[in-house]
Formats: sequence, C-alpha cells, structure tokens
Amino acid sequence: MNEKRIEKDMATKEMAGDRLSALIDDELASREQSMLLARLCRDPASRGKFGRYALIGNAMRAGKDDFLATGLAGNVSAELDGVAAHQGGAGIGNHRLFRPLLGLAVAAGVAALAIINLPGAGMLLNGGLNGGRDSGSADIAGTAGPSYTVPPDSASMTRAPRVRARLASYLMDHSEFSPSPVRRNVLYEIIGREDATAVLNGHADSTAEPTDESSGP
Amino acid sequence: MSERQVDQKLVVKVQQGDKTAFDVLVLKYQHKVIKVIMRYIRDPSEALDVAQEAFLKAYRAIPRFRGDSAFYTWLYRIAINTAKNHLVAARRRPLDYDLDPQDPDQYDMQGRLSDGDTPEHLVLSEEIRDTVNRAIQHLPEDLRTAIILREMEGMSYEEIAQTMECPVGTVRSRIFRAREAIDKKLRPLLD
Repeated sequence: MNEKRIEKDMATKEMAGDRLSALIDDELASREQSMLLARLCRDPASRGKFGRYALIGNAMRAGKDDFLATGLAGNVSAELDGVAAHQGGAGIGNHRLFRPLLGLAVAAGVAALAIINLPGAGMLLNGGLNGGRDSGSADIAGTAGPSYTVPPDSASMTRAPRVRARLASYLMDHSEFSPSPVRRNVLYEIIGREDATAVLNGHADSTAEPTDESSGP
Repeated sequence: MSERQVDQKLVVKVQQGDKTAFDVLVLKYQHKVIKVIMRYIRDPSEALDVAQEAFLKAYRAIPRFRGDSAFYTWLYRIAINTAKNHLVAARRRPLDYDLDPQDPDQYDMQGRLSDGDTPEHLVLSEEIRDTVNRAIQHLPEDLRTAIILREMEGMSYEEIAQTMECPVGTVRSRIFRAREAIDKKLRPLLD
C-alpha cells in the first residue's frame, strides 16, 4: 500500500518536474499553465526547482567571467516580507478611512471632558439633576416626607462663600498678569459663578450692572 | 506569445496580492536583470544590491502595470533606470553609455565583464558553472544533445525533434531528464 503511494508521489513529482521544464522552455500548453503556476505559487520546493532549472540554462550560457546570482530571489522575497509586515503593522489606526473617525472620537472625548469639568456647566448639571430629583422627591414627599435636610448651620455652608470669595479675589488680583483672552475668561467665570450662586441662593441682585468689556481698568 | 501569457498570468496574481507569484518572476528573470545591470556596474555585490532595488521598485509599481508591453521589457527599463540612478547618486559614469533602454535584447551584444571586485561571488559562479558543465559531460548522448540544442542553440522542441528525428514528447522528456540529472549535482552546492 505504502509502496503504491510512494510510486504515485514520485510519478506526480516527475510529472510536475516535466511540466516545470517545459514551462522554462516556453513549451507548456496553455491549458496546463494555470494549474502549474498555482502549484508554483503555493509550493516552495517547486519554486526552488524552477529557480535551479533557470540557473542551469544561465550557467550553460555564461562566459568565463560572468556572474551568476543565486541569492537574489531570496533577498527580494525577504525584503518584501519585511515590507508586508511593516504595512501590516501600520494597522487599522493609520488606515486613511479610519483617520477621520479617530479624530472625531478624540474630539468627542475632549468635548465630554470639557462639559463635565466646566464649573458652571457642572453646577447647572447638578442643579438640573437635583431639580429633577427634587421635583420627584416633592411628589414622594407628599406621602413620605423629606428624606434629607441640610442643617442651616452646617460648616460647609459657612465655609463655602469664604473660600469662593478668596478664590475670586486671588483670580482678580492675578488676572492682570494673564493674557487678555484668559483674563476675560476668568472674569466671566467669576461673574457667572457669582450670578449662578446668587440665583441658586435665591437673592439675585436685579439691579446689578451688566459687565462691559470696554469699561475695564 | 506564450511566455508573455505566462508572465501576464503571474503579474495578475501579484496584482491580486499573491507575493509568491512575484518570487517566480524574480527567479525567472534575476540572471537577465543582473546581466543588464552589470553593464553599468562592475562590482557584483553592488550590482546585486541594485538588482534587488530594481525588483523592489517593480513590485511597488506592478499595480500600475497594464500589460501593454511584455513584463520583461518593462522590468528591463526599470533595471536600467535603477542602475543609472545608482551611478548618478554615486557620481560615476555608466560603463555602457549607449545602451538602449527600449531594447531588452541588446544586452547580449555588449562586451562582457573583464574583471570582478568580489572574488567570493565569482568563486561561487565558477563552481556552479563547472558543476553544470561536468554534469553535462556525464549525461547520456541523447540527453546531452537535447539540452545543448535547447539551452545553447535556443531551438524549439519542434526543431529539436526534427534534428534528432524523434517525437516532440521524447524531446520534452529528454530535456527534463537532463535537467534533473544536472540538478542532482547542483543542489548540494546551493544548499
């Protein structure tokens, strides 16, 4: 059984070698070409034989001082493997279709961080959330009563305005050393915060003059 | 026409992403390309580098190859331009100033190299040549005649069949068996 298989393998190899030899000589029927080329592409041993058959002809025709290249195909192949690996390593991140998406994702992330970290927005968010919760609580309060009440003499309540006042005066004092856009932002922020705090505390000064950029120092 | 068809099939395979098809094209044309480049650059190791560069350029450009000319004509032009650019970069004049970049058959008419700077390359070339020639001397007469008529005289199988008064199939088989016998002697040298 094994002998038959070995004989069959040898016959197949010989047939492939015979076809390779005919291919080198440009004498292979076109119907046989496609199958042999497919074999050449998938079988390194066949490619090796093809290369040696080509070398034999060149060696026969070579003059005394002619140079016969033997390692060139291997070098080119290795170099191409390196190129392919490098291109593969570039991955999805560098694909030109994904670059805009990557930019959008970064921009969205920065925008989300900015919204979360903006003091005014944070307060509004908290207010909105608390308001929503409070209105819901009020409905429940009708039946179950308040769940939590901040004590009016709490330390945080007494400390918070002082801290804010100190911070505001610090920013005002140092704003003259800042570039004008930054200074403007800081001033707007302080004013906005004070307004918001006043609104939240329920004693907004309706007579306060609107801040005019041109009336600055 | 048939050779052009085979090359075109391989080119299409490369264009479809099959890199090994390009390996086959390199194996097929490496000796011709080296020979052309060595008309410009004497040093074999330098010529090898330039040939490698030419093949890499061809690989990068192959998506744009439409098959208007034969693959080798296109490759030949790339090889010549790469060799010339190499010499310009090295601020040297080419050895063959009047080699026509449009004529791939011209390289055989030019003079042969008379010296080589790297003996190790030439030693291997000499060993290969000697091994092949010795193997041919040991071939049976009918195989030897068939392979010589094919490789040295460039005859077709049909012409060899007429010369040797045998069927074309027999010629094909004799040439294959001659190559197998030579390959058996050559393989240990290359491994």
